[in-house]
Amino acid sequence: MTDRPPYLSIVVTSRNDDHGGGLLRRMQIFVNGVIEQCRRHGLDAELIIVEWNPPPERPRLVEALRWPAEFGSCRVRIIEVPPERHRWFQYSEVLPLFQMIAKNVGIRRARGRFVLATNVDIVFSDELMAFLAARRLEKDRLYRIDRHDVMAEVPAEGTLDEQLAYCRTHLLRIHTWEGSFSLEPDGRRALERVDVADPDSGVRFGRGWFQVCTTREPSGVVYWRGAAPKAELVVTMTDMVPPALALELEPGPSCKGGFAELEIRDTSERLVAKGTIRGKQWISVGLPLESHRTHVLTLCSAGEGRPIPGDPRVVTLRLFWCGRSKAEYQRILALRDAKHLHDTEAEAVVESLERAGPARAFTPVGDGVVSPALLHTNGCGDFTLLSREKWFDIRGYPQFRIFSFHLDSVLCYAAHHAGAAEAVLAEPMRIYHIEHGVGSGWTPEGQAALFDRLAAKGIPCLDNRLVMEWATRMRQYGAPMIFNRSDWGLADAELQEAIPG
Amino acid sequence: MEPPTYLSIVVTSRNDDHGGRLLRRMQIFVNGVIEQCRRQGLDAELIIVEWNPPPERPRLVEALRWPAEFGPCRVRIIEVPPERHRRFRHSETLPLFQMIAKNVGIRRARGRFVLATNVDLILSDELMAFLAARRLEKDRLYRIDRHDVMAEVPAEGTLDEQLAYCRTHLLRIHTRKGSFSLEPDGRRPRPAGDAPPRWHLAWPVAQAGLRRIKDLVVAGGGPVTPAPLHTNGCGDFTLLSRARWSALRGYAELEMFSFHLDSLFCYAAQAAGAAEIVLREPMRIYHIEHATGSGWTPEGQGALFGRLAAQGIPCLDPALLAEWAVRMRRARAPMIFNGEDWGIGGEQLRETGLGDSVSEDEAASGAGPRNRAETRATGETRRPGAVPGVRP
Repeated sequence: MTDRPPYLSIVVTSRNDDHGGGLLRRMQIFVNGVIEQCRRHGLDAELIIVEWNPPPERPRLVEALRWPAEFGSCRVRIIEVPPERHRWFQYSEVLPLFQMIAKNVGIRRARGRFVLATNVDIVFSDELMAFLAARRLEKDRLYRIDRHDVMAEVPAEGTLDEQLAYCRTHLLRIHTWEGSFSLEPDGRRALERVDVADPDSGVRFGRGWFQVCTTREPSGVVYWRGAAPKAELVVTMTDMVPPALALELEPGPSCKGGFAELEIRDTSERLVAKGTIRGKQWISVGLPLESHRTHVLTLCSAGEGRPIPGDPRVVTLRLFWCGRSKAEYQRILALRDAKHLHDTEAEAVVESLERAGPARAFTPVGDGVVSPALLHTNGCGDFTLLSREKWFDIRGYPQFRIFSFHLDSVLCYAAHHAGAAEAVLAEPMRIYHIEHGVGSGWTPEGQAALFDRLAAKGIPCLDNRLVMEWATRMRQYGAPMIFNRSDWGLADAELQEAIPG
Repeated sequence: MEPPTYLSIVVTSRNDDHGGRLLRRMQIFVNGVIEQCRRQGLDAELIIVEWNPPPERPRLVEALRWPAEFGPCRVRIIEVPPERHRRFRHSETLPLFQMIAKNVGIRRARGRFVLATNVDLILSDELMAFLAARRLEKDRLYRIDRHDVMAEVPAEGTLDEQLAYCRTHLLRIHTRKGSFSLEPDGRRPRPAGDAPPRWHLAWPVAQAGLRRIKDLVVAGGGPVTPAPLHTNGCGDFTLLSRARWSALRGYAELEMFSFHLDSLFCYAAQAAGAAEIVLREPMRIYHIEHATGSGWTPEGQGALFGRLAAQGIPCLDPALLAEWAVRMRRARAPMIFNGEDWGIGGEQLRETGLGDSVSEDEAASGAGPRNRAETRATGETRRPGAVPGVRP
């Protein structure tokens, strides 16, 4: 083994407790994948597995996992935080693993020039690993990426290529900066159960669209989707007659002056439609597009977009309906009303939002900053890459003795405001996350189960509103917020390290 | 090799007549420190961070008078030039960022302990004797009450005459419980009629904390008020080990008026494990009164905030300070706003040394102590900490 520091340290944490069901199986796929891809791309890396509070009655990970005969350019280090040390922490009896403190243990001991904090149920795309191996990372950057969730049955005994092929074709959902969306088998973002597009129109919402919202308006509960200054409509052309789309739109809350200048362009940047949206109105867009093919229409509603107080997003359009015609919309609306189906559900959502109260208003100090920087924090615990120097600068993740939810986001904001500007790696670079048991980690569907379990055990958790407030402060002050002492990552602890193979 | 210094005393100033007759007050402070170090045998260095010196006026090294003999006290004047100052937001309206300036000195201090204080203070002999006794503990946050005294401290008098003046010309005292007027001899006057006692900011801060605590998000029990620290006037006396200052990365370097940033630091220090000790009588610091509106006094608060608001200079909201203090107390974790480059680390600043830090070469060449200026690599390069020991 050489003492030369590797280019990249990959830090994960785990314990052999079958967390989420089939943990060892998923972890074996992860470990094999990393070692094989390092070899394939010549990536000089070390994989640091922090084994936190190992259950005494089960074998250690070094024994429970299978290891290759040859590790190639990847070194593996397993650092153990023993149960005695775990018991020092408050809530240690109900939380068996403090994910963020555990990752800090690994980050603090990492030797790579760059350090990627990720999780043990991830498969990296070859394109991503090739990019990392190309040594083009910059030290003052925060690297992030979308997360693709895939079905659980990734063939554990298959080759890496078979596993990657399975991932590409068994997608469940995607976690992007705009939100989390279910995916159709072909990878397009699926419509939500109640959405603002006619399911038969061939229209799907692409990048730049936020999730469906419900608000109470004089006419009743209204569904809408917000759009960023650039938002893509993915249209599969059917035999529509006439080939046109009807959209009900209004300027979003970020539009100065209450109007939005809208341009719609096709895949080849050709202008399809142009106009000014004032108030809520219907527009009709002719689609001189080739039939039976999928086209991407980009709605550009840029201008002087203001962020929404307390919210990092810039929403320049609100879309209430998108379909073949206004008449079709009214027919679907009548169907909905007849079934009394969705509005009662939506009423409940709106009421619970109103009970929770509005987000706290910020008092701008001097410079008028009222909202956080717009960062891609969705699923950031699964991929946060910074130079080692920057990790040390901001002292890793906040080491609160609470459930790890949102602590990864706080870290991203701190890194960003400590001078590491965010870069989101684009397709075909991907991370695939292998689905596991409901309630063991965050999924949109499992959120309620997870929070019930936490509440029942009295485990505290960080509230998103507070994270947004801190992020706003960091932006206001142009400074990170760091919550750790200089001994972060259990720096003073002498920990056992095992090297497999 | 430099002799190990026990205490670094860090202040900041610029020759701009801040608060009126600044040089007079500062001369009293400098003379006092040097004389008392000699008197008590305190091995100290006095670091004066000269921030953004006005180009049309002499530098402090020339504007102040220096003794022929410095005794065990070395003086270092570190200059942050106007070009560097202009890189901060609000630099056009705030001529001196007090907390960043102090961080410049703290970062470059060589003492085992570092006292951050101000240039309009006189320390009582008993306090200096305590410091010289080397009984400071490394995991403590040392604080003290501040006594305000009338402005006419005899600048040309001896230290003993000045101390005698201070003891008999008192105006008010700033304690943990609040700020109170004093009779010149130190008795507290009875409040006239139904005049309310003048509470220190800690109280409204605590109230604001209580109001917002409902929104505090980390569930579970825990304190709902800030730790009961003595933050009243803490910018005038905050003493910790150098290691602690360094681990906490000094004061929060927020580009705003310095108000409350000193308190924020005290809460962070306590949350990080430095338990507070308030030094008791007869240990004292005397603060020489200056013009209304140039620093915080109960009477001048209105004028000060009026001036700041008119210039659009931001300030830390006391309610926010309270909320953060509660959070730090609950989480037993500090809140740090600085990166590893705190205190303008990694940058070279011009330093002038006075006293026995004279190098032999310079002494042999006959250069007087006043005219030597040496440039050092005073800021460390930004380097992550070493990999802690891992046992294979």
